[in-house]
Amino acid sequence: MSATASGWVLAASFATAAVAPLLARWFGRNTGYALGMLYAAGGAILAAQAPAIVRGEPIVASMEWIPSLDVRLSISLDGLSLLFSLLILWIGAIVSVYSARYFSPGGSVGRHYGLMSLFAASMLGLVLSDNVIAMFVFWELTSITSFFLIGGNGKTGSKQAMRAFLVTGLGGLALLGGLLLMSVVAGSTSLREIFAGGSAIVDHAAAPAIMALIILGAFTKSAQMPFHFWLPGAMVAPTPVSTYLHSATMVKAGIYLLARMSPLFGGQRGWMIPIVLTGLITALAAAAAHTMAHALYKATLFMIVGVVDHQAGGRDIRELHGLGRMMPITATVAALAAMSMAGLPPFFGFVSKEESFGALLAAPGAGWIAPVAAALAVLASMLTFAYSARLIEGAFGGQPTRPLAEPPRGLLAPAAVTAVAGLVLTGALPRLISLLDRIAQDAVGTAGHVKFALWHGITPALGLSVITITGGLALYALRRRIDTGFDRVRLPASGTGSFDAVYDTIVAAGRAAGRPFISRAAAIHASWVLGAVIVAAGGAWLAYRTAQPPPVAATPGEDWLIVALIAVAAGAAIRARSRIAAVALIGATGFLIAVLYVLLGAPDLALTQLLVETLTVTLVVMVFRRLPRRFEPVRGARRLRAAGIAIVTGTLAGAAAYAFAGRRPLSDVAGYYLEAAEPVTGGSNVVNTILVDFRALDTLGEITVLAVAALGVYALVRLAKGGGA
Amino acid sequence: MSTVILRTTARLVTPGIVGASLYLLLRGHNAPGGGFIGALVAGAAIVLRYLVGGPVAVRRMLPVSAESLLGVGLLIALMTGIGSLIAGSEFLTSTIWSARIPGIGKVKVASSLAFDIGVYLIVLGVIVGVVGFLGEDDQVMQ
Repeated sequence: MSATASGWVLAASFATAAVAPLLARWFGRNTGYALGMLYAAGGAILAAQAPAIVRGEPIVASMEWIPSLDVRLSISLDGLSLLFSLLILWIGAIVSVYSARYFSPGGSVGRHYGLMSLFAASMLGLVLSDNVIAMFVFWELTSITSFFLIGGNGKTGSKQAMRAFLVTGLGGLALLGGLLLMSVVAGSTSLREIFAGGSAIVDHAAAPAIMALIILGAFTKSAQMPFHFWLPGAMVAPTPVSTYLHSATMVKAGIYLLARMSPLFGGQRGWMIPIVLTGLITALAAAAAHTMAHALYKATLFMIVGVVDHQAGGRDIRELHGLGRMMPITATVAALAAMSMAGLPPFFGFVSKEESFGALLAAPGAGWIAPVAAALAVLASMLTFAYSARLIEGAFGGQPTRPLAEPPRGLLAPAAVTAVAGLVLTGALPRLISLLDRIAQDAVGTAGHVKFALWHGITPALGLSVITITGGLALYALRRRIDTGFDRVRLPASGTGSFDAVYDTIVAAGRAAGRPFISRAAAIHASWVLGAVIVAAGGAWLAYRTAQPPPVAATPGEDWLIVALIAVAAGAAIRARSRIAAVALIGATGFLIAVLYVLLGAPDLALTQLLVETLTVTLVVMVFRRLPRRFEPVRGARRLRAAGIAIVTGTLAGAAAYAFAGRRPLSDVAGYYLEAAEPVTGGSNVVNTILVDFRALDTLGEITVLAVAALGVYALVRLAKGGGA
Repeated sequence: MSTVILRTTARLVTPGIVGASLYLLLRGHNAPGGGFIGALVAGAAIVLRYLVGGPVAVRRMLPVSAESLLGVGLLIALMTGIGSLIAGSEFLTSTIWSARIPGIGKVKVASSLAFDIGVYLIVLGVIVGVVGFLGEDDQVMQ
């Protein structure tokens, strides 16, 4: 295993995403088993790096990407990255195996597997990136792929997916701003170098803005208050998608980001408040352990919901009763996960929760932080306990109303694996401690000296655990009264409601802004475009009218001849009553302009002008076959308005052409192109070398716009013709 | 418009126009021409075919959809850029190969030609698409 192993795992995961749809064509839903094996193996390769990482040798590999912007694909595998990578790969493996039995045989699953594996690869890239720009690109990739994953479920799905995407997308923009500010201040885009700079950033005036933007990105992604509202809606996705996105990956991306940035900002008050609120207080070792426990029990419960949905045909807890008697194994698996979630010993959830309590009580910083953080954690844990109990009692308790069977083994086994892992991990604690300690060191910069254990003796943390369980039991016992109490509460605003209101306002504003331009009359569209030309050209003239004009070279006589011919053709086009005649005359002006280009020594331009003119005239003639032969007469005011616009535009454009064409010395840039074209690009046609070499990126942008616009027009025309798909 | 004269002329000149189009595309780096101009010339051949035999004739001449021309063109242009990344230079940097082919002499090819082919296909795709809409519903023009 060399330093590049993690790089290869990342590359392989993207390759997997590329071939997954093909695999799905051959193997159908069983593709999940192949993906599961690949992810398990990838995770094992990374896990094999653990000893080196524990010794404190982060594994770094780097490749130039856009050197001029200091963007490189550098990969850094330290304890924190390793933890999240293993969650992504191993939970990914389990979810893939689950998918293999979740979808019905023979269904179309290429899209699902392709997107899931692309999402997994992007997540992996996100947690492995050392370069902030690369990290942001992967961050956005996860937003985009999750949009398609959530929206895959029909009409309601697309609305929910849009909400999730807009919220996380806005957060992504904030994150980009924060990361860019940070790299500008630090003078580097490498996280390792930025962290090495340390206090220079924290003391900089922009530090509060950087922190706020990064926190905004993390909170939207993790669906933290007040951005929580997109999360429930996103559950319209198929269960494997929800399982993966919300237990191990998407939501954890925000947590990863906060943990990643903590060595830099830890101790800043502005940073600590959200960290305390999310329970991500400095003892990152506890948070890391809890991340693991959370991923395991949440994944189990999501998969169990899918199982129940599959067997009982619904997942509304009010309509499910007594599943425990009909499906004892399912109920047992669910109970194992729920107990870990509730924080009962000897589950891993208990260990991680107790460790968190201990860490929160010992939280450094201002005096208020520790008690407030611990109290919040206890309150949250009580609620978690209560809903864990409610979930199990509601779905599995009581008398069955109709016969139901246990699910197929292939569907239940993955959930059982994660549930049992929640127990086994407690036993494996001694082996994990050194790694967790390293994670703490990566995230805080100092060793955590954590002592994870089931039994610490009588400690304050144990006291908090007892309070949590007692409080949770009380909440559960009083659930009916609490329910009716909550039913009476009417919040003045809901997240979804406010979001939709803002969304509708923006759409309405857009519609209002576009209204002046919506017309079936070509004249309206033309007058806006020509009006813009008048403003631009007139503005330029006003700005530069006092500038010293360059020496005016004499215009050769043959130029004037062409100009005169153009004027004649244009005048005749104005007078023409027949549409075809007008088009032909306008075409004639175009051809004459091509001649002018030849005289000016621009053969490429002349050729293009000639061809465009030919095609335009032909195509316009074809369209005009459907219109009346003659123009309809235009009345006075409109005629005057059109004439006014035409005359002003024409005069300004003509003046500009006269002023610029061949009446100034060669610019420096032009001189450079003429000189460098041949040696640099191997081509002697400067026009072409500008298009495909010097400014190839511009051309790429232009052809992308052209292709996308054309595809859009095709789709609209098809739609208008009622051709459907 | 589909007279015998037009039909015969179209059949005679189409290969020439297509040849000219490819010639302009290939020589663009060193003389007037290039992907955009080449595609416009090919577009002229397409329009001519359309005038003679409507959309059916266009499809017989070029049995590819406008969408795939656009997609493949964009992909080629993009891959040219990524190719130079893989080769270790910056995005879209051109590489020049020259070889001596017996009988022809020294031939120089730049990787930017592939990029220009992408441009060619996209412009062609736009023209094929536009011509396609003009007469999806009316058959051969009489």
